[in-house]
Amino acid sequence: MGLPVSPPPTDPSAQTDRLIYEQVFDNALVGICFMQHRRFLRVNARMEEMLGYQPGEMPGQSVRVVYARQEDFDEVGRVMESFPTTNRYVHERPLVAKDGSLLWCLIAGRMIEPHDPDSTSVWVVQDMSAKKQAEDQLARANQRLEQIVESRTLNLQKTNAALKLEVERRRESERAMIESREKYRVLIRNIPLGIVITDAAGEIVEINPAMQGFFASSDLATFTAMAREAECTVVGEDAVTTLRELIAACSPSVTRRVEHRTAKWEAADGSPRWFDVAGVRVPVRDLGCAIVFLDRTEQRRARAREHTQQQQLAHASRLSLMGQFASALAHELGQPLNACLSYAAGIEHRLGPELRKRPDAQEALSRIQLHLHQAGDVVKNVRAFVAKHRPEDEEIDLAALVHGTLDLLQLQLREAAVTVRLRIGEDLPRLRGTRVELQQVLVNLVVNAIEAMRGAGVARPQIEVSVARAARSRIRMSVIDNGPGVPEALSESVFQPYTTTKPGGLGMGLMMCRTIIESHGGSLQIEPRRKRGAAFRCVLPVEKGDPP
Amino acid sequence: MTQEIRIYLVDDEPDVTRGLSWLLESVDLKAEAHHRADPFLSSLAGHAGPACAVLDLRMPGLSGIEVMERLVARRPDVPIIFLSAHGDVPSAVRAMKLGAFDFLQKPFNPQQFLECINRARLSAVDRHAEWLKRRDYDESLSRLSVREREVLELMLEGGSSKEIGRRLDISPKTVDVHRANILRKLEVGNARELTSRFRIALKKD
Repeated sequence: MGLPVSPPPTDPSAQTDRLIYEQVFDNALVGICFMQHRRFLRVNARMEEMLGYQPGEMPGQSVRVVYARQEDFDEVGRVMESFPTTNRYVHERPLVAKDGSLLWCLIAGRMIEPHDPDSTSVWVVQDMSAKKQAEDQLARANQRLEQIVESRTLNLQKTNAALKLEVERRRESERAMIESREKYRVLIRNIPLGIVITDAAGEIVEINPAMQGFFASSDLATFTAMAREAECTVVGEDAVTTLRELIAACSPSVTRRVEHRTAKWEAADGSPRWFDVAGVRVPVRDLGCAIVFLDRTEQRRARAREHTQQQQLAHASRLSLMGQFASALAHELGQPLNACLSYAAGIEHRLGPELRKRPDAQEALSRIQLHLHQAGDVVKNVRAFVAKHRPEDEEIDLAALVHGTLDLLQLQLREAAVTVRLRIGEDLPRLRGTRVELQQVLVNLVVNAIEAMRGAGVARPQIEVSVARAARSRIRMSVIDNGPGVPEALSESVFQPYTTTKPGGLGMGLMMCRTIIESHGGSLQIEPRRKRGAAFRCVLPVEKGDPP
Repeated sequence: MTQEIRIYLVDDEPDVTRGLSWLLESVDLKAEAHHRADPFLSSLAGHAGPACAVLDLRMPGLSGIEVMERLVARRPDVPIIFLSAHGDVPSAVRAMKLGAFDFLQKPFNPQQFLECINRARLSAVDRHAEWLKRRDYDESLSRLSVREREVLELMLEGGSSKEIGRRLDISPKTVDVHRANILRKLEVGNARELTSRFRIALKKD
């Protein structure tokens, strides 16, 4: 990145460049880090703050420390091996802070030298849960930035004085500055954030390669021309404006202000892209503002995917609910009907001779039996209907089903800030059963746990889902929370219909869970005598229909 | 058929067992009801005579099929009729494979139930007698030597001493000694008595 006027490579130029780069790095609203061989080389203040580390504590550590799971670490490793072809990585995943808390982050990275495995890579990490506080942080960052600039200006004057006195030290200093400038130049060139620099008159004087990539412009001139024409929509204002006007709108006139917008832009191929745009004034002579573009498209798409998944989940639950409701009804009615039929037939046997003398009573008894049989037929028809509309049994990989179901529930889990621990045993046999039904059981148990913990105001809600082999070719699946638990006295009655502790609950969820598990030949129980939290345990045979 | 044939009703719903007991009483049959598997199993353990059992497929604790698995080992002569309030075909298939006598889905026709019980009672008597003979035979065999068992098997097939001797590659005289020992050890008078006592058991081999 150069400067508006291209000055000879003397000290002031190096100074100014370094200032800009350092300010972008140190005051960025997003976490930025350099890595080599999957270890942190340099980490900016935002990233340290975000993950709860002391300044300077992260460099040298393995990147593994910030991944919540080994799979995440391995997966990103595999993606990095494909960098020579793609050199682009954008994804959302949870990172773990030093104190163990999880942050949902948008992560973007690239290698500076994609073909060199020893190359440094640069990563931008954004804590999405903190988005609402972004404005405050921007203001604070800007304040800090001014203080830093002030103090550095003072330092520079001192340094200049010292330079005049000591040539050797001056040269040393200069070399260090050029090195530093190079470092930031590399950063600006490789950072997956679009950066636009304007001059004092508001004219665009510099854009970085990421910005060129976002807007398919090969150079500054093309971009400037395109920006005057290209239309984009400012989200929340519903105003159509040009890209150039958007940049102007995000250029605050005074140093203490930060302007930011979210804008939607349609690429030439018609696909929409979303950007968060934020601008700050650069307190350097001849320069105007630095406007940063953060690509939000992936995140938007992820939201859309989540929405679709929620709809699928709701649809599956409705289907399963209907079937389970009908079969529960058939079961509940079957018992009393059976007793009635037995008594009616018993009366006929006992009073045979007397009844023949009372044709009117005989007639009534026959009618009673006829109607009881009719009611029985209704029950049988309902049962046959449910059986016919059940999905076919299939081979189920329970571990995959657990992963898939938790994915569907991601939104609910994140909203309730629940930490999920998965303990999936190795070499689990597949079992035969109905996928949508077993999924429904897990959804019910997890949602119950979330609601129980929320109702009790648990400070750090946790859910553990474990799947393991059990004796006699069975599989055990448990859902354990750290909520208020289930009182011993209720541990059987919660499975009865119409038993609920939730306001507005139907009291059908656990009953259905048990019906489903039992129809798979398994059993569902509450683990007794737990000190805290509730633990629901289901045991399923590998072959459906085997005894539990 | 003067022997008492006990009828057990095992269902966790007391309404169901009460209704069925009443129905059975109306045709002069007495039934013993239990609402869990364990008391039923201990009651049956103390009953030596013929019996049949009506089991609900799903009960808290031991399920109907688990109870059946235990019965197959202890009292294979007891015919079992399964009841189910659920429409679960796989369990029904499995129960029939394990050798269940019949499978009724609630709500069922009481007449059908009574017919089923009558068939089960008839069958219980035959199976009980057969089972006793089989136990007697097994117990008898344990008193014989290996060679004597070989001779006994050929005797039950109706072989003469000569034929048996040739088959086992021993002299007819030796066979006669074995014969005498077998009759003495099993406390029977002659070969015909022996055959009538053990024929049923042998058929099952």
